[in-house]
Amino acid sequence: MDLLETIYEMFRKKPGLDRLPFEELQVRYRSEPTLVLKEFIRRVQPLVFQAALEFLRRTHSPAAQSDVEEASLKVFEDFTPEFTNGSPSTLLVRFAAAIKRILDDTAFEVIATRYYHQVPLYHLKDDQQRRLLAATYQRGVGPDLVEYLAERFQLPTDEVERGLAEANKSLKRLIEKDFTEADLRTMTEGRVRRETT
Amino acid sequence: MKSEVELRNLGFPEEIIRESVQAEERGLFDMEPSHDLVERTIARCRDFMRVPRTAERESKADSVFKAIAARALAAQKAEADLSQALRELPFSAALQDGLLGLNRLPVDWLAVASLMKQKELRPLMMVDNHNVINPSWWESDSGLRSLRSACRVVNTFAQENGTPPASVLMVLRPNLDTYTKDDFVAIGELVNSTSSDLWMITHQNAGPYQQRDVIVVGQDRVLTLQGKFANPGDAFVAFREEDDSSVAIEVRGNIEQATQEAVPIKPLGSKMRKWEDTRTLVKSVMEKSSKFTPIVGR
Repeated sequence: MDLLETIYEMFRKKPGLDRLPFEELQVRYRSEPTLVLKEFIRRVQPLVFQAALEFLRRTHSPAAQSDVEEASLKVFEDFTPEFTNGSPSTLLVRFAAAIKRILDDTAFEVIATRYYHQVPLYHLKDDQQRRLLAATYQRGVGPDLVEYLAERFQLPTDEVERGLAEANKSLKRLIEKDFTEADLRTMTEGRVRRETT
Repeated sequence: MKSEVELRNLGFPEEIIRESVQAEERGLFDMEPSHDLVERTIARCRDFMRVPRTAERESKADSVFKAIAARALAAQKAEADLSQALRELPFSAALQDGLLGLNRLPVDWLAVASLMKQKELRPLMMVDNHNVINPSWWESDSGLRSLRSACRVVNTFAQENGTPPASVLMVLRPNLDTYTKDDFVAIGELVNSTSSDLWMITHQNAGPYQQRDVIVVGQDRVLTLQGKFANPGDAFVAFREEDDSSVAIEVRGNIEQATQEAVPIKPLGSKMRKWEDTRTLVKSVMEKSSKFTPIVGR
C-alpha cells in the first residue's frame, strides 16, 4: 500500500470526492480508482459531449444523440488505460490530448476555456459558489443559465444571480492569489490566465 | 442566452462569454447528454482501468513483516483485534505501546525498518524545513502528526534492534523574528521528545534544502515538498513521492553530507521547558553556523 495513502487512512478523514480539486482526486483516493474515474467522468462529460456534438455536426452532419454519446464514450475509453498513470496535476492536460486524438483540435477549442477553468474552480472553498460555477462551466453560459441553475439547485433566481456574481469574484481572486503563472501553464496549457493589472 | 452585458455584470470573464456565444451559434445547447451516460461510460471503461500494483513493494518485506501486515489489515476492521494481535507478537512493551497508539500499523515503515536492520542504515532521513512547514503544524494536523508517530514507531524498532534511528535535519528560517511563540513551543517539544538524531542548519547554509522538505524512506522512496502553503492540509497533500532507489540513495548521501555542516542537537530535558529557551537555542545555532560554507547538491 502506498505510504501517503496509508497515512491518510490512518488519521485523516477524506473530504468528499465532489469537493476535491482535480489534481487531488487521484492522490486522496488512490485506493479507489473506479470511484475517482466516475467523479472525473461526471465532471467533464458534459464538456466532452459538446465537443463531440461540434465534431459530428462539422464532419457528419446531422448528428443523432446516440452518435454523439458514442463519440463521447470513445474519448473516455481511449483515455482510461492511462488514467492512473502520469502526474495528477496534469490530469486535465492529458485528457485534453485524448479529446483531440479521438475528435480533433477544433472540437476541443469550443470547450477549451471552460474546460481548463475546472482546475481553479474546484479550489473554491465555498460549496455553493463551487457548485454553481462547476455546473455553469460544464454546461456553458448558454440559454436560461440562471433559470437552469435555479431549478437544478432548487434556489430562487435572485439568489443564483448573487451567487454567480460572488463566485466569479472569488474565482478571479483565487486565480490571482493562489496560482502562479507556472502552475497555470502546466495545468491548463496556459488557457487560464492571471490578470496582471 | 442572457445578453453579454448581463453576463459581464455577473462577473464572467470575457473569454468564457466569447466561447459560450460561439457554442450557441454552433447549436451546442440543442442537445444534452442522457441522464445515464455517466453510468454507461463507467461501465464501458471499468475494464480498461490499470490498478497500480503493490505486489512488488510487498515482496520486499520479509516473512515476519508480512505477518504483521496481515494482522494490521485485520486491525483496520476491528481495533480490538489489533490489541490481541500485538500481544501475540514478540515485541517489547514499549514498542507495543507505540503501536497501540496508532489506529493502524504503518506497515510500510516497519518493513523499511526491517530492511534497514539488515543493512544497518537509518530507516528514515528527513529534512524538516521551517520555511515550508511551520513547526506548529506537525502537532495541529493529523496527517503530519501521523508521519511523526510512524517515525517514532520505526525509531523504537531501530532502538530495540541496535540500528541507527531516523535522522532529522531542521532547516531554520533566515530571520529569527519570523518564528512565533507557538513555533518555539513546537520545536522545544520536538527537541525534548524526539527519538531521532537531530541537527539544525541555518537557511543560508542549507543549499538545495533551503526551500524543500524531504523524507527518504529506506533506500527506495523519497517524499519531497516544495512551495508555500496556507495550511498544513494543503502541505500534506502536496508531498510528491518518487519510487526510485537511485534518487533515494543520492538524497540519503546529500542529507548525510549536510548534517556534517549542521549543529547536532541533544534533548535538553528540564533545561528547555520554556519557549524562550528554545528561542535561545535557535538563535545560538544561527550565530554558530554563520561561519559554515553553504552546501551544494541535489
